Amino acid sequence: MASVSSPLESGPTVFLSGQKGLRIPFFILLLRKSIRLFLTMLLIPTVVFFVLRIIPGDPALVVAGFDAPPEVVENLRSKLGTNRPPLEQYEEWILSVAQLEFGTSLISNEPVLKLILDRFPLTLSLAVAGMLCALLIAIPLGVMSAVRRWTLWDYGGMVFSQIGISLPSFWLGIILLLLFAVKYPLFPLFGGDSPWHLVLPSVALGINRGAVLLRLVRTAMIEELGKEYIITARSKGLPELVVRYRHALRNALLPVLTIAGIQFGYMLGGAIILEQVFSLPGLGRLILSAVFQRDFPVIQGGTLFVAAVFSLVNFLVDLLYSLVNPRIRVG
Amino acid sequence: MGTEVLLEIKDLSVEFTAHQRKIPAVRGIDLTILPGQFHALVGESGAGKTVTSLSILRLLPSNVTSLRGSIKFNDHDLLQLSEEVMRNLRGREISMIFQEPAKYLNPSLKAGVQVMEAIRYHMGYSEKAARERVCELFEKVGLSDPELAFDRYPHEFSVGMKQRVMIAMAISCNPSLLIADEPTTSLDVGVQRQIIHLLLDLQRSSKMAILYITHDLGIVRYAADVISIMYAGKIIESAPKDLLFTSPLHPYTRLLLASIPSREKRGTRLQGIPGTVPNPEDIPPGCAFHPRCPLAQQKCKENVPPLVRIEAGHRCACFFPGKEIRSNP
Repeated sequence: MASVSSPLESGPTVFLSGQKGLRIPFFILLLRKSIRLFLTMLLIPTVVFFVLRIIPGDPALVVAGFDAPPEVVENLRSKLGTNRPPLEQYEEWILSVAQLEFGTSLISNEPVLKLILDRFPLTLSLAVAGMLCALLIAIPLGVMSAVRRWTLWDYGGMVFSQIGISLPSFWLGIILLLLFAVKYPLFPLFGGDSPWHLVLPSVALGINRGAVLLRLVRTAMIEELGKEYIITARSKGLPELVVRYRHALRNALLPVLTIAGIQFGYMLGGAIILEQVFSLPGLGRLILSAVFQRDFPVIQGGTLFVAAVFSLVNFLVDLLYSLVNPRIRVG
Repeated sequence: MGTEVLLEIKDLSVEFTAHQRKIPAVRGIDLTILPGQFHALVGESGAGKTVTSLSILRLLPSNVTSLRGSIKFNDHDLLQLSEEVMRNLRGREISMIFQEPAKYLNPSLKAGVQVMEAIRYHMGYSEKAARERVCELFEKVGLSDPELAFDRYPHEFSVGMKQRVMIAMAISCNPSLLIADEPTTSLDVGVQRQIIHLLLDLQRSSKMAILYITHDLGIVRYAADVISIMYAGKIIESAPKDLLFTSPLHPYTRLLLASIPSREKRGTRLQGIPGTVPNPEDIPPGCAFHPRCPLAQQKCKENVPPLVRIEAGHRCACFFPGKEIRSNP
């Protein structure tokens, strides 16, 4: 069983040592990052377009059925625009994307954008709740592991994080569902119309990501607790809790929040999977059922939307990071 | 009562363990500081000065495996106090400034906030009152525009300014003892002088005692009341400043003094001390200085000279105090 992990998990330590660099005025930084975001935004619909064209099979034929009359298929082709030269289609796609015009669903005939925007809040709140859960697990446990390193507490934390990293969140979701919705019905089994519905899926998401972040918090805290300013804080007679949480954690959180921000994108991906497990009517369900029904405009629009949100989130994290840590304003 | 004692260190020994070897950093020192006194502790790096000062605050790193002796502060033995009582003394009664202010300030907290902490914890000031107090302190340590300085982050100050922030932090609760661990070593010469003068002013105006740790005898020449010289984890000579400069007794002190450039010595070749400071892992038996000492005899190799009182206030640990050193060219 392949675990849902990202290549980022193996090398986050790069972010741990504070880079020193020339201080760049904030607006120049904003400009740079905006240009990068703009280029990404241009690239995403291009990739989405060509990926969907590379997939074998004529969409019109799939939608209409293989035994449909040729004129129906031809009709569908012209509706989808797949009978025209690819470059012409591409041009039209980019232009319509620029106008936030994603077409209408082949199945329900509703505008794709409306379908997406109806479903997105649920996916977003699931990802946010999952991230909160992850931080709530990672920060206290990570601080504790760092403070009592090489004790039973620390080993406990390591075991927890090893297990948490290895367990795929969809499997965890199923177990949680069986335990706390079926065996002990504390939480609802289906649907997504109250915050209660989000508890189990966000815990399932949070444990997995929290296990990754826990190690990061531990490493960063150990590094910070060894720094000289901690001696200063202690020499002022501050209680140990203040030294840890106010002085050390504040600095340790910088790399942690960066990774958390990057992982937020993956959180969206995880949320999409967990929507299946928990039957939540979110964006993931929309895209998946569109795939099953070969609803191409919805697949296209949905994929584009998720990718765009992902890069937008990373853009915002980048900006926030340089605001929080004014020393690291480097390109 | 002029004879009150503020801090009395007796037979303090500190041992580290690294790579399964015991490293004696401090080997039984006695040190007395009177209220309001400027006491300079001078020695080369590795002599155990910083370890001594961190023992006073009980902030030694965790690889210290043995800490013996007593440190009496206003008649309480600091080494026997509970952690909580000790914490109440830190910052309020005894505070400390360090060699590299850039590293010893928290990079992500505003300067004012860092100075404010001790005031709020120890003196229970409200946020607003503490802010006012910080601005007063900033003005006292010579930071122009205290309001602006309050909201700045450490990296926005020059090194000298950072050290001023550290000093403001250290004196914020009117401590009776300030430990200054090489506070000027990382500064430019001009700034060094300013910081020393600032410390002197503060010492005089608030009757605060200062334990000033340095490797540079020249720097404390005008400021110190009493100077103690440390070598390889021991104090080898201690005397009021004038006495130490006019009639140094220990050969190490005399060689140190000879190595300070001065106007009188213009035109002559400056003397260095042959050899190097012994590695704390491998301290010579007997008098630790004997391998470098021009006066060393067989006795020095076998016996440790005790620190004995030679005359009022002047103590020296040498079998031949004051014996003439023949310079061999």
